Amino acid sequence: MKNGFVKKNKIFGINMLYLLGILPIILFSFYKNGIMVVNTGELSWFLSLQYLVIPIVIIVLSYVFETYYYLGIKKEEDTNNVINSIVPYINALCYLVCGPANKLYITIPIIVVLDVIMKFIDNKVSVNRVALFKCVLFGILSLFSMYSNLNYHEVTATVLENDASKLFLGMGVGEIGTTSTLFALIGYIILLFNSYYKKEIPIICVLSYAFVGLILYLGGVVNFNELMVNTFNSGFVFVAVFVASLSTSTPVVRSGRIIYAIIVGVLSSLMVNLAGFNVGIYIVILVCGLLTPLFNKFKLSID
Amino acid sequence: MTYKFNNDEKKLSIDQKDYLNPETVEVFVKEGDSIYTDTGDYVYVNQLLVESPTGIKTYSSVAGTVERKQDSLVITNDKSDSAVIAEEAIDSIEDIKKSQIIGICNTLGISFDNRLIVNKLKANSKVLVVNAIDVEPYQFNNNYLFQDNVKNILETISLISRRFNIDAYLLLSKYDDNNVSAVRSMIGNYSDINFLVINDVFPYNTNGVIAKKFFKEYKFEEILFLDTVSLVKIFVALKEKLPVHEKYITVVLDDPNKAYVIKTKYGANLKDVIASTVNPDFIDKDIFLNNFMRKVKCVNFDALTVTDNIKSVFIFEKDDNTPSKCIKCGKCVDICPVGINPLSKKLDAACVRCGLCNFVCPANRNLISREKEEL
Repeated sequence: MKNGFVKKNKIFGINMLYLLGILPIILFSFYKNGIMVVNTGELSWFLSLQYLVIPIVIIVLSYVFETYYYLGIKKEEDTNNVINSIVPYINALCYLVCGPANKLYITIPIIVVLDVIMKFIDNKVSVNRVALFKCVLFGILSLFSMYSNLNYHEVTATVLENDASKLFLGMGVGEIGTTSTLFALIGYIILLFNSYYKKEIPIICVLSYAFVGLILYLGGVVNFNELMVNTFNSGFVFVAVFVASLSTSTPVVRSGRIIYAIIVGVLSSLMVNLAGFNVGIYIVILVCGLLTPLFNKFKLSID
Repeated sequence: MTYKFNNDEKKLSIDQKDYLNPETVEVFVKEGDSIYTDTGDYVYVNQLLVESPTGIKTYSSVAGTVERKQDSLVITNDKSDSAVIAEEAIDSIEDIKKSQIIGICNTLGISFDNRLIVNKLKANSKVLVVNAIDVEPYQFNNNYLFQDNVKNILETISLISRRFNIDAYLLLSKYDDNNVSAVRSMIGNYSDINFLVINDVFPYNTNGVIAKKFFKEYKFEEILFLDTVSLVKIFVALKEKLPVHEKYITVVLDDPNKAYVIKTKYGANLKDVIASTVNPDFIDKDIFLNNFMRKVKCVNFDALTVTDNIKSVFIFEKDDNTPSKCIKCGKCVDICPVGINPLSKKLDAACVRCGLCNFVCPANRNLISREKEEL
């Protein structure tokens, strides 16, 4: 008789929901950086498929590497940790925060190296791997003056989008997965079905971001259109929904999560609207992730 | 009855059974215990068998012949129920003095939770709190014991309150309809008892949480916590000058909508009790004692006997779920009733080992696995 008391391990289902959450974004990135660019004649159909195939290949290869690691190196007897690994999702996110004109010979090795390092330190340090990846990638590409978020069409385009409503839909310049705020919100709605997703983090991040934005607007530092354009161009909503809320590098205590989200939102707003440095969001998340053990010590009466 | 578990109110079917004539009764002895019988001796019900260095006395719950083993006494029940001639029972405990209460409890050496009840009574308490609720999940022992002894329990609470000059509170769960109604109909005769019906269920009905919630003005050490079992023991000791030999245990199988409450005798072999009443299949099962959410499997089930430590038995299909890595979802922290972080490196002293963190963990981890396996 099936036991009504014992609950099944839910991690696989949780991870599948995470992957489902980024599926609309992958499809949109294929449309925006693939199909639309093919229509301008600057990319072949074959090459356009990379935006669909590569994330799938990354996910599959991540599982392969997990299998090698757990069964081959750690000599575990069952595939439990392989099947329940969140690494494929994290690696897919790493891909989505790359620029569209992929330098796969740089991005893939960085993903692999970071994965190996994380396994070596056995997750003893709370690190947001996606934020770390983006920072390292930015650093390396900037060093060789190769950093760019333009896709194959935008490189040659003379006029780039500046209409906030079109940017909201995803017509702006940005990383593969971060341009469309609309699809990030769709991803958020999908993730709401995942009861283990830390849903309050994106909300508080966005509210804090908006609050600081309002102050800057009222202070005359930026006008409303600039605020919207900066926000949608920076991919902040994508980062808040998917990167800042990664469960393995965010606080477990509720009050800690709130403080973490406020700090991420406030500093991100300053980075984007004041400094004009979009990559700064990832630096903020990386630092806040490292401070997670400190945030876990906060206990307020709301807990 | 209606039962609330995991935020879900459900109608539970409870089957009450008796197993009051076990084939054998076993009493474990430890180093330092005084043993008053030996192999071949015939013992009567209520005959003193063993006394621990702390004064806890164990009496025979059946009549029969003794076989002394290395670390236990086994009595083969002849089912005659021949008992030691006891003092005459008194009609009412109302006039018993404080010194007599302490004297009788001390003489009989009655215990609960491996502590002499008399030591609890002697502690300088400022309030008496009778937590008559079954504290662990899916346990109904106190429910049934209370039903059998409503008047006796109220009399005992009133007596202790008057003689020890402390306020007395009786707590029952709102889901315990029968007992709540019974108490309400009688409480008028006991003006010294404050009756509280509480809404909370496990684990918010544990003594620590109750003390924080309802008795904030007292330190925990100033509260005399007694439960149904200890009150019944005190009552029987005072009225009949005898120990209690029967107790209830709850048995739960895989069905969360059904439970068995078995009335049996101390010392009876636990497996025999369950096999004779519920008759489940024991092969390929995971067995848990008292709280299945702690995920501490019982490894020595065949040798267990009914004692105060055993309140419920859960017999589940073998669980093939293996735990996976923690995903830091924080559900364990959110659900912890005492507000600690189960993921912290050391198990906090405040942890009440309710097991809720284990229950909600999606990775099937055991967050209180610092415990050794229960016998």
